[in-house]
Amino acid sequence: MRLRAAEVVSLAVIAFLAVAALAPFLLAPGDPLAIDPLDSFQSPSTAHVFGTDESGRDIFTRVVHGTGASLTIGLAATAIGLGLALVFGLLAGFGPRWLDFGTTRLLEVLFAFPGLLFALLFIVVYGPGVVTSTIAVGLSTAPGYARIIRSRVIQVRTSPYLEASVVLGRSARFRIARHVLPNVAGSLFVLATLGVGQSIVWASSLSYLGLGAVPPAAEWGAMLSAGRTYISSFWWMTFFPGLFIVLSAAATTVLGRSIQQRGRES
Amino acid sequence: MAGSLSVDLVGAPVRSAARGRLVRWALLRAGGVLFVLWAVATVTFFALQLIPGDPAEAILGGPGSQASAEALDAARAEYGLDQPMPVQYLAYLGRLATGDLGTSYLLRDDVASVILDVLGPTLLLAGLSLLVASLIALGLAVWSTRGGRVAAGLGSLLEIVAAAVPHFWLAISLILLFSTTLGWLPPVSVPGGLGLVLPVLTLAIPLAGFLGQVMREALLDALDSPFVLAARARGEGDAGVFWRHALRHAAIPAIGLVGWAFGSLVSGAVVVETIFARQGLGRSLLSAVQGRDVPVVIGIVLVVALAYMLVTTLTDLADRAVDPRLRARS
Amino acid sequence: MTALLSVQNLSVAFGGSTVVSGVSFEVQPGECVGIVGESGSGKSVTARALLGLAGPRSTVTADELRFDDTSIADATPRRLRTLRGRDIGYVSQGALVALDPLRTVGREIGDSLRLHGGLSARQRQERVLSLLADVGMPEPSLRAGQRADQLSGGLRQRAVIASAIALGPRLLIADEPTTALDSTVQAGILDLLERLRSEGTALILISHDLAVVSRLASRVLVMRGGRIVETGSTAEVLTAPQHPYTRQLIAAVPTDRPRGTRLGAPLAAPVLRAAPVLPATPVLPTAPDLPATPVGNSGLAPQPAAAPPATPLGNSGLRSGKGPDSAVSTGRPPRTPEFPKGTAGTPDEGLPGSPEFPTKEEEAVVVEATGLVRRFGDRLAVDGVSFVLERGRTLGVVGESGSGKTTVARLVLALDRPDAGEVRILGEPWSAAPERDRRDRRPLVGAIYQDALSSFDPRLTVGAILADALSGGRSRRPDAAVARLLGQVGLDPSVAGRRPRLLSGGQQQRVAIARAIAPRPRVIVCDEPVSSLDVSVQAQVLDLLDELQRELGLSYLFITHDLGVVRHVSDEVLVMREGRVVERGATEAVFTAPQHDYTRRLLASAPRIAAAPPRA
Repeated sequence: MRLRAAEVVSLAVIAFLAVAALAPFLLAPGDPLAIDPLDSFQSPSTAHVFGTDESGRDIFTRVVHGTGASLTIGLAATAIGLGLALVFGLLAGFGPRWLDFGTTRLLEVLFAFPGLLFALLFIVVYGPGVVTSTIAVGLSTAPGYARIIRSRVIQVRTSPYLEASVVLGRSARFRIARHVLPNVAGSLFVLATLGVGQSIVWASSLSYLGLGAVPPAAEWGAMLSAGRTYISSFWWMTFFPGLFIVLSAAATTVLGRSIQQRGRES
Repeated sequence: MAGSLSVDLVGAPVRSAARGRLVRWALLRAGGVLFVLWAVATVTFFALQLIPGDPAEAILGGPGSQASAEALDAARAEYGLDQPMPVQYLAYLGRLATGDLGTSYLLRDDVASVILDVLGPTLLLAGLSLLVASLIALGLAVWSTRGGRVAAGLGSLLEIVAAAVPHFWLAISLILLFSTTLGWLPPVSVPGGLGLVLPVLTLAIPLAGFLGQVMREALLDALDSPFVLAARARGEGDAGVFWRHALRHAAIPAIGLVGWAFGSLVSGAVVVETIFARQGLGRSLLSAVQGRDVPVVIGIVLVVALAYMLVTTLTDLADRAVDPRLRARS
Repeated sequence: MTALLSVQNLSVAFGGSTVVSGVSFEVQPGECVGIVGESGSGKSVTARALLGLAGPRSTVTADELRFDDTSIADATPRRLRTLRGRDIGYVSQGALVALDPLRTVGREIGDSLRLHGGLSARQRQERVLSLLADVGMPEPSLRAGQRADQLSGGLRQRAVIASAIALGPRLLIADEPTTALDSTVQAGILDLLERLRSEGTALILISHDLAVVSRLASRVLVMRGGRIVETGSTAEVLTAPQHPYTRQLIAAVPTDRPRGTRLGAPLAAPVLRAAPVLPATPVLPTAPDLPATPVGNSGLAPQPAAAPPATPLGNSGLRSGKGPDSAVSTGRPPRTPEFPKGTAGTPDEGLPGSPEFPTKEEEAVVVEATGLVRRFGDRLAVDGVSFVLERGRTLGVVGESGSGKTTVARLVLALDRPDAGEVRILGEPWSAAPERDRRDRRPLVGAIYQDALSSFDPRLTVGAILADALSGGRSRRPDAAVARLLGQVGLDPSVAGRRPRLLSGGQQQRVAIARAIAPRPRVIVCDEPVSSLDVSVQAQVLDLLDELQRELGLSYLFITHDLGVVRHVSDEVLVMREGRVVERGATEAVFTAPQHDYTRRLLASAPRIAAAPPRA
């Protein structure tokens, strides 16, 4: 399989992030929590590639060590969102008319809470924090995925090869298990890959607003939250964690799209 | 709807049938909107109920306020918190119907007037951003259809920008570039046009990415289609093909996205208004969430939901205007 | 006189691959030249190149490419734009998509006028209306305000033609102007084109359908693989083709070819064919022997059924050659089988052939439909259709679009429930039975469709699809049985590892046939199985179906709109119109002496390959 340049780059980025998540000491041997008050607010230099934060901690080390936690949040939120969406999407696509009707109306209502609003509502009720913000992001993304899954299910269910399967004498259970689900699952993978990037972005936005992770955790969102007040003067505190967020989201998006495209071509 | 020919080519029976369909559509739509609004209100009401702690305490300043029992009772009575839940629910719906969104816990002011104060600036911001984003998107989409590797690369770039760049990071980067380094623009919002530039750009760029990508695909599709070939075979040139045929086809999916774009802009406003210290719905929402000022949060959510329904209805109408096939189907 | 259009050594390449090469021809004023070719022959690309519309990625070279006194190859874009529409008109393939779905027909037609003339808006409107009337559009003022999706296929095509001739071009290029149209509609469009030609417009008519081309063209070019393989007057090319490809193309057309004769050259025997086919029948004549009899008949009645040899020739042996009068023509099944036992359905050793299902010994009737009715809303799709399909026979169902034939197919396949009437398979209730009772007997009824590819699960390889069919869904692992099955339909066993979307149309249909015969059915419902295939591929598939019918004793319910095909494949035929059977009977009887008015009109409208040239 020949890889295109963009795919190579994104895979390299993801590999780097994977190493950072699983074995951060390989890339940044220092201690992410080590305080050095005399060294605080240093701008990027050879000693501290990304600068230091308000307690003198090295930002590069913290960013690398925070990869694991941040990626986990993204994965968890995506899992929650997709899981819920799968349930609703399958119910709506397979179930009787009234179930489809009800689910579609429910989705419509959920769409009336655009973007972050549902997440904010959730946080108002259950309070800020890493866990609540992760769940909130997951819930917010669920309706979008559900709609996609539902239409995919319907598309597969009404396709000619399903009818051919009926003619061959296959039972409904067989058709669902051996034809519908496998064909729906394919799109799921793409959705998941694209979704991880999105979830990371949203979760980090919530953290930036102070509603997600908090310091001293070496997690990108927390670092953003801490750096909020110092934007104009000490921009590196927010810029570099943000950069990693952009890289992760970009890499997963490029990967997801290329999987999708290859799926169409092959 | 009889095409460009000014001669009345469509007979009267066909016309009134079309009008009848429009009316039916409008009624169905209105019903749908009301239903969704009711459902949103119900969801938010239950969100209210789920909040841990005693609302009366929250009103009086939080759990540590050590308010007296009489004060608590008075607060409960004032906010109607001592009634059984179904009664509270109906009262709530009733108040909403009259436009009464309650009173803010923190600001001691009418939620509706709090919202109205900040609505204007946010609408301005959102509207400008949408406009700028559409223009950028259209320009990029048209330019990218020229073909060639650069253009194809542009397509992917648009997509990545749209999906991977959080508003706060973009804002910071823009401030760094234009304010800190170049000094052209102010880092926070100042009265006057200049203060709007960075906030609008921050919101517009990711949105332009999405819209641009969608329009680009639709444009490419249209330009490759048999009816464009037929148009060229009639002697139509590139400009004619674009303005008469391709643009309309490209607009259809973009119009469909406006509803979603609205939601994205509102979410983005929360971040952008905070960073640039602009007064607006987003910033008020954030402080309400941070201070657990529930009535304000709910009020804003409801107003946004209402606005969203309005926007989607408008885009549906626009869709029907641009794509005549939808009118026939109703 | 100097030619209106002169093409010398035209070549078109896309990137590295040459799609058209060495094409040379001329068109005189008022003449109709036909270009015939199958898909991939380069005919459409050639047509577009004539207008300078081959595409931005194309390289077009020619020694000469001249229209009148303008050299198209050297023309500026502006000059080309002036030529297009005003001097050269273009009717492209597929009228539905040749009109912008968002604009009204009137506007599309008006565009030509606006681009080239100084007419005012009002004058343009009037001209549009008169053009529509000219091309035979009913209610022109109403239609002008409608969009393409509101018009039927034939009307759309007329609209497209109107926009192409709006300015009275001297040359009209028509690319597949009648494909996918019903025969009667097709005839109308061809009449229109012929009229335009007789009024002085030169015509380049491009089609895969020899009959269509031969009706209008005085000269014919046969293209294949981007080159012209033969050229000459229509009469010459059709009666005395020089090039083997041309001969093959003519032979492959099923119209007027007797039942049971091969249309195509037999394929090389695939590797794993287990046992030789036991010929109960004499060796079949192959294509090159046949042209001794004149192909086509210049409009005379075709030769009577008594002409083919008396011995059953390559079908299930039911064509006893007794002649049209004795053909079974009512809906009632004969109580005793009319064929000698043992010929039909004689199984080959080792190949799936013997029906597994215990049947009443002499059960001759495989499918019996009585009084089928199916309504969709207030539209009556099927209205009282009854028929009987016997073992080893083929019942053709022919009709135009909207005749209800596809609905009948779905009812027989039990994909849909009739509102009234019933279908019985092998004497047992079928449409009335609940699905759980029916499911075990579903293997008795198979199906193949027009679009074979979309009937395959896109995630499966050919081997998996066939293994699934052979094992009743239990296994998807291909084995020796799959290889044998592939051999039976003339495919190499290596095909099993590939995905259907990488196969050609003909191969895909063979896989579909293999899947259909795997569970050893008694009857296969064929819904337009060859309509989207090239003529030569179509011939091979029809031959295959014929062979399998003999080997396996299959019955076919063959649904099609193509009169030539139905005549070739069917023993009996039903003619349907608007949900009703308007005529039924033995194929030859119906085709030689149609009783119903509609049948006569239908037969008259079908273009046949005419050896006599049209008036120049």
